[in-house]
Amino acid sequence: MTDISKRAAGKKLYELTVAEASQLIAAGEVSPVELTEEVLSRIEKYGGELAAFTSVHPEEALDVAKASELMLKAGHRLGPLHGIPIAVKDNISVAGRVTSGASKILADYVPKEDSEVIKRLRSAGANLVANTNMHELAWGGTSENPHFGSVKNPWDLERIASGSSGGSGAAVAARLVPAALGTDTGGSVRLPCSVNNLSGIRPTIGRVSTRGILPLAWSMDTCGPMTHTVEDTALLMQIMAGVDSAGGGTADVAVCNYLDELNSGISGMRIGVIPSYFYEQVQPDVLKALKDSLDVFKELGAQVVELDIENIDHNISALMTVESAEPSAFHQRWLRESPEEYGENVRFMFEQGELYLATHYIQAQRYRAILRSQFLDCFNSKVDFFALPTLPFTAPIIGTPEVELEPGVIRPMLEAIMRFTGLASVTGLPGLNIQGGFDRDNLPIGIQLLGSPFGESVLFRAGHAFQQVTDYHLQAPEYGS
Amino acid sequence: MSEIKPLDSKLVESYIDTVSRIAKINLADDRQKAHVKDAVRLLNDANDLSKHVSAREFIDISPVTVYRW
Repeated sequence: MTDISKRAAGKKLYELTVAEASQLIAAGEVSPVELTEEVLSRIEKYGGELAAFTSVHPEEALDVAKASELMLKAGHRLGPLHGIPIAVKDNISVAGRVTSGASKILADYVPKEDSEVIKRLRSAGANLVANTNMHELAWGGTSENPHFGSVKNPWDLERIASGSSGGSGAAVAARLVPAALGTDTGGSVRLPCSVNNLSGIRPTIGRVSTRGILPLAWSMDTCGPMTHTVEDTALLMQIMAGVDSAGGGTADVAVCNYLDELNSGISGMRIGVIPSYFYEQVQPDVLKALKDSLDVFKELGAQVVELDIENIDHNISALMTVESAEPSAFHQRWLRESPEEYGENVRFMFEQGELYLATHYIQAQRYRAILRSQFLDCFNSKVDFFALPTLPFTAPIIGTPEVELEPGVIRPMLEAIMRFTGLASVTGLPGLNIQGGFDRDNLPIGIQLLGSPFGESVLFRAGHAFQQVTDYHLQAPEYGS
Repeated sequence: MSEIKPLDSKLVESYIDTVSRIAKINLADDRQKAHVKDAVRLLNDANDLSKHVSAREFIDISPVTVYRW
């Protein structure tokens, strides 16, 4: 029996990680059809209440599962995702399937071709069972959607699943699917991973093709996996990462073997923290979780290095400027011709994006170059990765407009929620969310590891090492159990 | 260098009206008013950021539009 088989022994089908299911399917111990039936049954039972999906495709999913099973019987395994059900955020094109970005304005948009990431997942054998709900057109951090309902957090149904990939986050957290894809412009993979107790990565800009994904802000858009373990995140990234010769903004940089390097540990690594930013405007339970996580990393052989970066706090203004102006350009004509097609929240954001001057946008982009170079200086000589909170707080109640980050400091939800995710978005660096504990109300707290360009492997090593000595990632919500 | 005064809501209100007409968004009065509070803060933040990237030490810094590593 392999390590993974031992680990999976006694688990219910829906509790299997991607790595476990993959190995058990390859060994003939789990049937792709049984696994898919279980997934579809749970989606039917819980998906509606969570408002986690925009569309579910049971017939197609069962056909694919049956084909996967026949192929296995004939001795042919497509790849590590053979027979694994996966959900896809509704802004990632799947050929022949409505890909609306959970909007009304694109409700009849049916792409003819798969996006590059979907092609790669299919080539590895994935079964794309459903599209997930999201903040409309990805411009927002709460996944309160006027057309498909507000996505609910399985840890507390009164609270947000965050976003914009909230449906993916809720679906994986409630164990309706073992993994899902999200997109991340200002934090939309890491935020829902944080509040739903998941592992997930925003890759380096250029690491994963964005071809075939509805744009939000071109210069910051990325796509990443959302899973229960760092091992699964690495496994999916291995499939998704790499050059797309047809476009998609990818860089011609070799992809490491993430899984081979996963168990290399972090002994001797230096972890950067910026106390003047990371420890400020953050709720006490989240700060404690960060400091406890740093202690865990120290026990694993790493050292913590305190640094400072000048004018780092302006990253939120740069993020808001770029993430507002670029979508407003993309949506410019529709906003004028049929504004009523948008939900009020995104309509407001698209209007707001029109108010920036061209010079504001350009200065924000120049700031990004400056901030990136400051971080690169740190990576060149001082640290291997940074550790910081993912959100300054745990999941708020649905409908909360503002958050008090510390006594007297009240910020609008969107700006508050992106306080720490903005750094990776603005610099283009990779950010991995790992499960870092729970607050006094048993709500998940995410810790973000921020890496050097194309340094995903270091983040996976650190996150995996952390998960070998902690059990936060093994905790599941009561909902769906 | 003289201190730049933060924008106030009256000025921003009239700016929103001008942008709305020039960019042909044609926002109704109530929609214009709804933007004032956030726009004051965001535009002041953007002006503040702009000051910090206009110094001599950033003479060689060009904008990022697409990252090339």
